[in-house]
Amino acid sequence: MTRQLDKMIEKVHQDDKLIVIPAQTDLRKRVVSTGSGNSAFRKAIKAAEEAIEELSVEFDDWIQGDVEEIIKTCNLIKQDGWTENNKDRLFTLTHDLKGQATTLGYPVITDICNTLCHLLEKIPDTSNISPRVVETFAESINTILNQCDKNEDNEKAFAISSGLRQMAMKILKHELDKKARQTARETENTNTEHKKTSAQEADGGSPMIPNEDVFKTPPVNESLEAKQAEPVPASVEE
Amino acid sequence: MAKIDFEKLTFVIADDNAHMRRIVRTLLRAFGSREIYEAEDGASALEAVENYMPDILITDIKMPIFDGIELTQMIRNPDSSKHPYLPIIMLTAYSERKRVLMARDSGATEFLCKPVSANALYKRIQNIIENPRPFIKVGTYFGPDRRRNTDPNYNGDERRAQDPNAFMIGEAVSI
Repeated sequence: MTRQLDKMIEKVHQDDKLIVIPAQTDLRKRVVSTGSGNSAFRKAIKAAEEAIEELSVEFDDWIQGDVEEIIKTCNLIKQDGWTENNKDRLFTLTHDLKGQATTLGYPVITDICNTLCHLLEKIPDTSNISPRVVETFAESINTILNQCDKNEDNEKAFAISSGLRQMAMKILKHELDKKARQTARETENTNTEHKKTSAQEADGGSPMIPNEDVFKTPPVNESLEAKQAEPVPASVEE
Repeated sequence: MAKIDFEKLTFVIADDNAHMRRIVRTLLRAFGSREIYEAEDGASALEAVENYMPDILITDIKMPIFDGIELTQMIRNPDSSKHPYLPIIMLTAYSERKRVLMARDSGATEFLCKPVSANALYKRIQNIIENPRPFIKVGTYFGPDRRRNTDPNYNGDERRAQDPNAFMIGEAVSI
């Protein structure tokens, strides 16, 4: 028994031991050469920017393809509802587009996708997002692609992005408030149940058979009072 | 700033999005790199790392089969990985602090937020080459030293200097 304990203690000590290993992957010896690093850096960045510029003729088709995929997924959501697969597909497409659009010359599309990603991640129940909302996002990206100039401050594109953000924030606030009210109602129900059970115990009644009244949903005003009493954080992240 | 010979560097790019892989490959080629391999999910990325033994892995977080965090954890397992010290750049559209910390604690060497720019990518690679960090094994963590800076105002315990259990392994020794 003592030996077993010693072994366990030894293992814990080994697990906690801090081991510092000098860098094993030292690429300096192999890839650092003599010459001006600053000049090489400037040349590399210039070459990279030119290469991206050459690639840019394909960018609009790429984004157009992604938007078509978002619309297809939206149709699937209309048809089958917010299945895990549909939700994951929509998030992946939007998240990928968010990551690429600025590099492809459309920073406002990155903003729009960021708003949709945020909504999808933070809403308590995705099924409360109407597919029409997702369509509006896809159509807006299309409008920016077809009507706004790339890489330029464009009032129209910013107005579209700002409008979508406000819409998303309203939906999110509404849903988070709804969730907070629901939580408060549930807490109220639990407290009422607890009080009644304690009273029954004091009266010598059976604590195993709760009164069915405790399962009734409280009237709206009661739930609002409970919400005010309960410090439920329903903050909406910008 | 040192002059880096990109021609001698081998990369693996892991991203499920073909467009993103193309952008990163275009940037690396423009820097001068010629040996670039691509993987579209975590499993093929691990296979590519073991087959090609690259100098640097650039990986997305959100990928099928297993994600970039899991991929990094697998590579950083000194008992089973062929390349546990591989420098890893995590390139992702997730910019929240939580994700950055997850990436750091999985053993990523550098974290880079999308949208990627030529400048930012070059600087991450340059930092990996010019400032290689020691590796730390403590508890369940194995990976680059997560403390990048020395705080001149730090007045707490110097755990590494005082802890008799803490020791440094010489260059010839591996764990």
